[in-house]
Amino acid sequence: MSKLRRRTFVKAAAALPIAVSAVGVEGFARSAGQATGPLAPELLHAVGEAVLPRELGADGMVRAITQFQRWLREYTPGAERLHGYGTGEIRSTPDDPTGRWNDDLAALETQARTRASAAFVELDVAARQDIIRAAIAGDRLNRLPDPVGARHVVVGLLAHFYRTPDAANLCYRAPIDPFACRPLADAPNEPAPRR
Amino acid sequence: MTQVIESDICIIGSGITAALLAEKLSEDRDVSIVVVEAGNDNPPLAERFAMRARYRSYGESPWPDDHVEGLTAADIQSRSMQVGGLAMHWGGVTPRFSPEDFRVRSLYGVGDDWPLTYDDLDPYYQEAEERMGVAGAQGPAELDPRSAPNPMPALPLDYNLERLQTWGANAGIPFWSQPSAKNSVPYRGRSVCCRNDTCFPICPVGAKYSPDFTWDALRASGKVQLVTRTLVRQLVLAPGSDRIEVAVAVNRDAPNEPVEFRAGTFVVAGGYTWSPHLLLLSASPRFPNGIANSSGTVGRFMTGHRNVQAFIKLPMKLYPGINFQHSLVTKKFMRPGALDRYVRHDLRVWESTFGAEARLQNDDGEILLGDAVLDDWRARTEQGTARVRAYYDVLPHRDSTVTLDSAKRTPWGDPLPKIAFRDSEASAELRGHTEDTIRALFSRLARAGDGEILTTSASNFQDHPAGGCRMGDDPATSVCDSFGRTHDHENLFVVGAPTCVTGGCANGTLTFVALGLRAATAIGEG
Repeated sequence: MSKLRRRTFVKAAAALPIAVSAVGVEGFARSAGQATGPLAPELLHAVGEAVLPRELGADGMVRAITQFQRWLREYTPGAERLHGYGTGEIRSTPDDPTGRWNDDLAALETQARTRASAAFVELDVAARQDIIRAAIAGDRLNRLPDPVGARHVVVGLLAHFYRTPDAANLCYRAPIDPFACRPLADAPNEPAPRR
Repeated sequence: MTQVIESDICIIGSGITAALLAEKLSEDRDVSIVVVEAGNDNPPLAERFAMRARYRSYGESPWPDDHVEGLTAADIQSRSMQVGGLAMHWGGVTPRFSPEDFRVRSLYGVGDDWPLTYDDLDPYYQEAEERMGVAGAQGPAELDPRSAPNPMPALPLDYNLERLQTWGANAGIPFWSQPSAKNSVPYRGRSVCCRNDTCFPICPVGAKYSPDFTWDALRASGKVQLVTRTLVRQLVLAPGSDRIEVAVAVNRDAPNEPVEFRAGTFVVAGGYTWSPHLLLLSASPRFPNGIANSSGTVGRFMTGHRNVQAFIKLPMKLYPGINFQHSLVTKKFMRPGALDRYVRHDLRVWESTFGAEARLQNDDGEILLGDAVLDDWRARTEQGTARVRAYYDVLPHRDSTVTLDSAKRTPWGDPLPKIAFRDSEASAELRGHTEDTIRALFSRLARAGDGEILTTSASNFQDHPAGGCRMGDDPATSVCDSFGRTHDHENLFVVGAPTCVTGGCANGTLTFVALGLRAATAIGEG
């Protein structure tokens, strides 16, 4: 919670069901087995259920969200970025998106209450997806951005997940494990199909 | 008070050419060697897993502060300036030039011949491959001449590249494993490649050669003194002589305390921009246009190559990510035989995810969430995508230049370099023909695999830049001889990229190093 600005925290917490607010966001998250981190965990989990593939299963979903929270917690704005070939420009990582992404979560909650008179977490997946579609409709979505460059938290979460080896393995139903250390001698083998 | 550092040989710059040159000199000569590097030392190998993790997660530079604030130029290829130079984050790809690269005037009537042949350089190519450790396949002998085997077996073709190799064969093009300075077996105390696919910009296990390994060993043995964070600003002649006596430098940590390097022989190894820049900065009454510049060619004939690339969708199942950075290569088009119009290029093939990445919006503009994202992604990965790219050589104009930009200064008051590449008239006239020829080849490849070209593009910038202190037999038209010895100063050498006559049509690093190793046979002799 250290990165969570007070204004955003209050806004997000206020949008949560009364029972959740009473025990605090992190307390609820722990009790529900959800990933804690700089983003409101219960809302983020509800978003994850709506936008991540069901094939991940409950554990895989928590893992994806946990990794996203950890990634965000360890993010450093203003760090020197890699300068590639063909340019002399030295660039830095952009501002920490935590604040605006918590605002996005709070806005989803507001929309749920406005449209359905219910908390976002209480909506079924289809209803949550409708609200999310409206929220990201203006974004360019035919290519996923770098997660930190995502305007909306939903795009950030998905951009983060779909860059992971887990996502590639899921898509190809095979243990490709991109970017992992793997035996060189195994390279000629077709990755074994996995169900 | 001026600090004076004396040696038999003073090498200015610590990139890959300098590292392997220093190693060879330390073995072959009983001499003291001092190396001066403007940039910082680099983090040890043990820290590179963590640095790689930050790069993978956030795009952070795994080599932060690998540049010197204020030392830059518009259109420079890279700001990298550190111990090991740009090769600290090179991709480790090590093709040789082909014999034709050295004789384009004689064979094709364009450009200029080099003052040495492929056969002259062959033993030094071999030495470079052995010193850095190259894993490579022997291509067909008529396309891939070499007098001895690669030091290591080739990196194996992965599942994807094996299929793409068959596709190439069906198009009549023999492809083989790209030679690379990556260990296919343990080599010189370094570990085997484990395909973690961040060769560029950082290999966390030390399987890819980088110059720090050489510098660490040389420093540990006491054979070389490496002075970091010290920028050489001027070379000064001995009074009444054309010999270089002193390299005047600034210690970035104590800029008000001058440093002088005095040596019997000086070697400029600062790369394609900073080598001619230093010579131009070193103007004196006797050499008003700069040291080693009686020909007026210092900072001229800057060269390199451009590329044309395409992504081709193919009806075959591929698994991108088995080894992204490894590729197939052919030299078929580098050795074309007689030509009506000159066009030469290399050709490489990689696996690719282009057009088959996860996305949140389909071609109808519909937003995808949940299972729909995965379903859409899977449907688009049923076919594979190949990336094909051809580097073609750009023959340099005399006015392809690095000059001094009096309007922009370094933090120490010297003019910064100004880079302006220019094609020779012949090369400019051939550009359209060359790029059309390559696109036609891509179309042929696509047809051979019942595939479809998704997109093609042609670069505008020149990759693997070189030149600026070109070698030649004629002192009136070149800066140095084929060993890098400057025509004007018998104790001043220039090595590596700046000495190239042309940029060839393949990555130049191995050639730069081979030229440096050949130069070592003349540096400090006697």
